Amino acid sequence: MELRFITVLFVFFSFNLWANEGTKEDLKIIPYVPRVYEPSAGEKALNFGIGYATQWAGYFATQKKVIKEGGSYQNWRHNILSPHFDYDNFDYNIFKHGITGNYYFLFYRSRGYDRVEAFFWTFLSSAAFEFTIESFTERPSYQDLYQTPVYGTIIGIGVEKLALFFHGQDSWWGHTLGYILNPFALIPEWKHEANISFTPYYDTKKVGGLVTYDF
Amino acid sequence: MISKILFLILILISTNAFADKYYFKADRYQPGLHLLAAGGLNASMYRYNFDRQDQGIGLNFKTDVGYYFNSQFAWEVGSIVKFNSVSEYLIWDTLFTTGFRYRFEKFPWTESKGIYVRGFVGKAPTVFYIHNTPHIYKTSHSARVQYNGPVEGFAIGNMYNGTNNKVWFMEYGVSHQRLDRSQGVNNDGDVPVVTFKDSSRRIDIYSLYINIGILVF
Repeated sequence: MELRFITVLFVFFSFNLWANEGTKEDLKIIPYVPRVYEPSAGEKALNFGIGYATQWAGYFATQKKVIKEGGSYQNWRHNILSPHFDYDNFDYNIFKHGITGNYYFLFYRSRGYDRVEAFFWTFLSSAAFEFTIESFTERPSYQDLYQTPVYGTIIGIGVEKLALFFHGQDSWWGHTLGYILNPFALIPEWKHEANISFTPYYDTKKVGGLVTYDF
Repeated sequence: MISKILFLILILISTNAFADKYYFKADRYQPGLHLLAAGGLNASMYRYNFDRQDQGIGLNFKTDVGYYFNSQFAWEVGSIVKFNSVSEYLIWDTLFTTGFRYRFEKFPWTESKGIYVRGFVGKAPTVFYIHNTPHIYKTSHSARVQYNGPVEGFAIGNMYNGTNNKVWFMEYGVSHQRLDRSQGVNNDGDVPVVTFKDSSRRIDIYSLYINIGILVF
């Protein structure tokens, strides 16, 4: 119930604050605005690969029992060619897939993609999961193929705006809430200025280092 | 199978082109890929082939991913999610559709250049949550019954230019779903399990919508 409520809030927030991506002018005066640039083909492949590896890890971590009971290479071969309309509950199909898509979207935004490109790569990541990972245990779902990237993008735009609003309060609680909502903002490259540093320390007896992160 | 493949290919094509770098206006579409989202109300009539008829009013949420070929014409893949509380059950249906959008440069009775029409066809997985009083599904022993079948519809709307290059719209639509395949579904943990399949029951759903929405990008 809480999840649904929060999702609806994000959707309304995204309705209220649509359009207006971070511009160069914004970058000069507002910290925490995503830096939009054109990633190279290599960077795009790397970003997709990082996401794909994370999807595999997440799938094995959360679906261990289902994979053990019903997962097989034969399933995979059959399933990838037979997508269907699934029988999941709306909790899964709308809210959980929407929230998952929101993280795909925010990840790509954190890597410098504009909204349209982030949506496109969210779609690709979602399709890769449906056709090449989850197909070990079930057939790809038309609902998930559409709803994960589309609802994820809408929620993601709202979450991004809300996180920026909290960062804009310029207080410890504001930054904390901002990072909870959009943890990908912690990736150093996301911000337009370096905000992480490492200072090595050593003497004759000890070796160490100090990592600092500027909130 | 062919329709499924076509559906997938259309989705892939639709996401393979990005928008040009100038603003989308209500009276001048920007060629490229765009996403619209809207919420609203629907009134639906349910006619069953087993001597029953219901009506309901509910909420709906719609999204359209469209490739805009020029300033008037677009091809779209969309969904309308409807929730209706009817008699003893909650009905959740999702209309996955594809179709075309056309904006009129001139339209009778108005000066507006934002008026458009949409036609769409697709599939509509529709779920009946039958709670504890499943008097029309007494023998199913299922938590819910999922129907599937084709849908077709038509909509007319008007787009408006807001402030800061924002665009919003109001749309009226009608749709007809012909649901002729049903499956009973129970959940085993998170995994849905089909308890029965039936092709003898048919439901026709006629819906009217009103939606207010925005251009997301």
